Amino acid sequence: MGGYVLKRILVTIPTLFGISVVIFFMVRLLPGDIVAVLSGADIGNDPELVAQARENLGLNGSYPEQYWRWISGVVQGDLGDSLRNTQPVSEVLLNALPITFELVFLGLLIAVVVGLPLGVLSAVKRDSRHDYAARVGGLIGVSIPNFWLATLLLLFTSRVFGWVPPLTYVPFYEDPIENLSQFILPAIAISVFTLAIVMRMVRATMLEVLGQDYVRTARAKGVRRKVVISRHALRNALIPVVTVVGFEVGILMGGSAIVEIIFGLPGVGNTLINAIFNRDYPVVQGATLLLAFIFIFANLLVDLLYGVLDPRISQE
Amino acid sequence: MSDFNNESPVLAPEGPSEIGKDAWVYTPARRAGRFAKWRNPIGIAGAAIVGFNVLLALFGRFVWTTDPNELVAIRLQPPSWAHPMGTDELGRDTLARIIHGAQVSLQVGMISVSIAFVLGVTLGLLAGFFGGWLDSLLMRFVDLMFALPGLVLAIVIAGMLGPNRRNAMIAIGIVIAPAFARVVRGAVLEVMGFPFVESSRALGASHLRIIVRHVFPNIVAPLIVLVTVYLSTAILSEAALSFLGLGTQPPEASWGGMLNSARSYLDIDPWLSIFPGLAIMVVVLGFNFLGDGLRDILDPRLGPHVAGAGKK
Amino acid sequence: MSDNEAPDTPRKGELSRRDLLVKAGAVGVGAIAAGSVAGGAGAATRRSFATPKIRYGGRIIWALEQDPVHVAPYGAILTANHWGKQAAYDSLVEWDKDLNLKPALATSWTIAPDQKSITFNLRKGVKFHNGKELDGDDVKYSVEKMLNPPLPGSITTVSQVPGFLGVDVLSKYVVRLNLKTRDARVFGFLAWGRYSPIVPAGLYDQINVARNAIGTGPYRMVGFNPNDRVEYLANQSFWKKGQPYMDAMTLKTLPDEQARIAALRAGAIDGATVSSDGANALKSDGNLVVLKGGTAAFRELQFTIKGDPKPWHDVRVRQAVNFAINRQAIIDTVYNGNGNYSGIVPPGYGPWPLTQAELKTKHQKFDLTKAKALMAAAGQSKGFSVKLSTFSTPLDFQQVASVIKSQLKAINIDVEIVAQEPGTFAANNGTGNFEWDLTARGMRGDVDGYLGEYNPSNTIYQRWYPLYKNVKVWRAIGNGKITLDPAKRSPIYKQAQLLLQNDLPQLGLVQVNKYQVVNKRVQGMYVAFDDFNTGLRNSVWLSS
Repeated sequence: MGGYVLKRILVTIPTLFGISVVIFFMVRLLPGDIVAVLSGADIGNDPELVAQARENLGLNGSYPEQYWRWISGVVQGDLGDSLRNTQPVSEVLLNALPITFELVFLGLLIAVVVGLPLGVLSAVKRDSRHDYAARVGGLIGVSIPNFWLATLLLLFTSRVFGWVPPLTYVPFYEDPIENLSQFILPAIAISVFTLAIVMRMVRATMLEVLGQDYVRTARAKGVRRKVVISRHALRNALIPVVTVVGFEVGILMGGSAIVEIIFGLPGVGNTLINAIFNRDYPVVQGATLLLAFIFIFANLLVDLLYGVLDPRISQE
Repeated sequence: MSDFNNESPVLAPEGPSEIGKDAWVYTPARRAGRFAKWRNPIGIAGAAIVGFNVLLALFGRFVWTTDPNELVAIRLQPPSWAHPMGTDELGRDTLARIIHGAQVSLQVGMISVSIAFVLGVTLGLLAGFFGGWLDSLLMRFVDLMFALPGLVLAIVIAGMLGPNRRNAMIAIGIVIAPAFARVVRGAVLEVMGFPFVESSRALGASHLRIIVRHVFPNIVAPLIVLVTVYLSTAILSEAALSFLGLGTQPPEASWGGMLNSARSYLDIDPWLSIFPGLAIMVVVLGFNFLGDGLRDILDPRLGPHVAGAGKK
Repeated sequence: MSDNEAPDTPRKGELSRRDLLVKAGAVGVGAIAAGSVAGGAGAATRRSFATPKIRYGGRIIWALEQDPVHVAPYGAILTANHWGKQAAYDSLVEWDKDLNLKPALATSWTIAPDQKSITFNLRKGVKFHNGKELDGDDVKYSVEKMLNPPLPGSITTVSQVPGFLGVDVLSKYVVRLNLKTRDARVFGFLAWGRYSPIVPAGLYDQINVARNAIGTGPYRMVGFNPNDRVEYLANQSFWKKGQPYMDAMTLKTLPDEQARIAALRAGAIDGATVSSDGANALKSDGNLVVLKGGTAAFRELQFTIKGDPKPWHDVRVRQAVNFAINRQAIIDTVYNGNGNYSGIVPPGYGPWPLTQAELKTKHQKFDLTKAKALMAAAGQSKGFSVKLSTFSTPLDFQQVASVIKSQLKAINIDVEIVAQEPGTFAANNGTGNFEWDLTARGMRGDVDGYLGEYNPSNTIYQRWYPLYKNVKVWRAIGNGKITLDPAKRSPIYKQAQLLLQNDLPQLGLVQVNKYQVVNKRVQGMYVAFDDFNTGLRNSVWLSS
């Protein structure tokens, strides 16, 4: 097991390197750079000054040169400084990460807490009205654009309740109520898609399990329905849920960007997208690496958990 | 948002058809009748929605002839008889713009998925067929693509090529392609393991023959499902890119772009936010319903394993 | 129709110029205050009959629509930087509400007979926020940094600085600013304050200037969190007695307008800038007051005149475009009827711009017949197609572009609107990689800032319209820059504007109003012409 983990971790390193190269070059292919962004439309510019400005920011030299400078810093733990305000990229990301993390955590929490029981209900009452309602609801859930849902939620609460979420980010440990009231709407917005998937997966897996021989045997032996559901079926249903959640963690860390933008949460996705528009290369590179790392790490965790939850797999 | 959910577990099956109404009773399939599979209300609903959308995209502008880009009326009007969906922030008719948006979404959906299809199937065939270092290299590359946040990648590609609809389609196609590659590769590997394939090869059958006769039939079903799933993903992604200003460029109407403009007027004219989002949702829903139905028909056992579920 | 007072500037402008000349006479021989003074009101000012007694204290929370990014004193290109740092810093001179020049950290000054240096007498007893007293070394250090701003500042801002050579410290409170050549732009630049704050010597080694400030201003900065807020506390030893009025100030970054509107409604913030639609939505709220005023941010159509022959290289085509555009329709459709016509110098910028009357009845009068005739004369009756690039956000750029597109159809010009994200737009704009551009201009310290780019040695000229030649214009611009006497300067610039309004290498469109909405407890706030929130630091107090 230990060897397997080590092997998996080692394999991620070339992937991360590959990503660093890809994002480094791709972002430089975007037209304009930060000097252009900042000085562009309204101030006439002396080409000498512009060249000097570029040099001051480290944008001179060939791309491989620049890449080497950057990547040698990264392996030593230095992600560089933002071109826009000289703040160290690691600081920028450290400020943004807890926000996105909390958002994703809350979103997935809602998705599982609501989706799991709904899925079970749907499986147990197969083909009833509840089941159909849940299936249709599930399909609707994966069809709603989350940025639209976010907008609708804002509209709804402000019009119907006259309430808007608080504007300033307050960490959870400082003021839990304020913090949660800021996160509740965006968390709901991003939870819906995962909720729908969780519900469908649980339903499908439970149906599969419930139809299997050992369950029928247990039933025939007189074991109560509830016990069978909880002990056998649920445990097996958890496996795909874990897969989905683990997978979604990786996806949502980046995918919640638009919701973050709508609610004004300065999380990683929001920061990353702004950095792209601002051509703030170090931040783009650093944030992308971070997201990729989290995605890979989350998948790795899921693989490991998979092995734990499903004894059949770890034996291979 | 899992707009770029390359490994869409949306492909969760509805369960084996052998199980009847009461999960506790084992009901064999033959009791339900041969055509039970086709009695699939969700799939039919999906087909209807998609069909309506296609008709709307193709012929809508002949039925509702208002120009989507003309400033025809006072700005920010709520729905009325003259303008059933109201007017937008410049005074253009929202219904006309929604109809135009249908065209845009459909076009983007089809073309990006086609690009993904071609790229992905080619990559998958190459990797599965030739194996060895080519396979490793290509799959490393696919892993890389998966680990890069999809939205970010699309933004960068679209930004690089220049923000317009055509480049958005290319960007989305590139981002989705890895999923197709994985599925195809998996199917090819499976096929290559079949004994009759091995004997075919021993008998000197060419690569092409093997591909056509053995591989294709095996991957048609999952590919069809993938296509419908990713059609909806592509439409959602185009909306997201337009929302960020990187897809269809204004003043051309696109649902995502309309949602973006609507944000500035949330307080003033909430109607602007409602219709484009609703349109996106309905179309995506239609494709999802259709995909669901198709999966039930083609093979109900198609589960998360189809999309490769992220593992080898 | 606009009820903005800006159109009537000449009267106000003349008044303030006279004031200024009087002051100048008091300063001494040859000491005519540099002609870069812009007089006249940009903001609507109302006289109240009884001046309420100022209540001291309280904290104001103001929302900024853009993050300052950093608060470094030098080299910042974004206006938002100055929003963030303005309350902490002063310059040698300053503008009052009507853009009249006033002493600040310098109490008086003398211009040398050859006009290549200015000697300033510094105010005595001014304390920086860290307790140090202001003296000549600080000014010397500050000017050095203006000429070579370290990161996070960008050295590209040096192009904004009039030709300073450096500062000689003559004694503790007397400094001499040396200039490369006679330059009328100096005082405007200094008063603008954006690029010219005075900091304590050695500041860059003492603190992280991106996140902190030490200045002489009415409020001292407690800290700046990027994408979050700037915090200020009152400077108890501010050099203007009786100020500041408030105890504390928080500038919160809220880029989303809906969030600002919601916060205003809820009373979570005391004031913010909003769009005209936003102001419209809030005007009925009894707790809020809508302020409006013109700023220097006028919208403009830019042509490139270079390379292969294009239809608009012919001046008659550009004139046709000018007369085919109905600016009032743009104002009505996009800006709710609030706005002014604008030439290349925005209305309200002192005595310099052409008057609204002139623009509306003559130079920018909507006249489709004339436009068609001009197109025909240029052989372009069939029209042509052209790409118009503009910003994808904020939305009003595209809205204006759409209106122009439909208006130019009438003269058979087919406009294709290319909306670009700001980074791409800026890159293309900077290199002249566009056919037509629709953009916004901004504030300048001196009127030359609006005209200098027609000079062949200027980079913009070379990149955008190298094929445009008009010796009279060039001469006017050159003369205007070195004529310090405002009375002599004004006709030079009027002539230049008339010539340029005829040649139209760039086409002024409209000046839009800026709207700020404040809670009714906020007194003394006004919409500043220079697009800063100067009221907050100078005149705002809280009535409850």
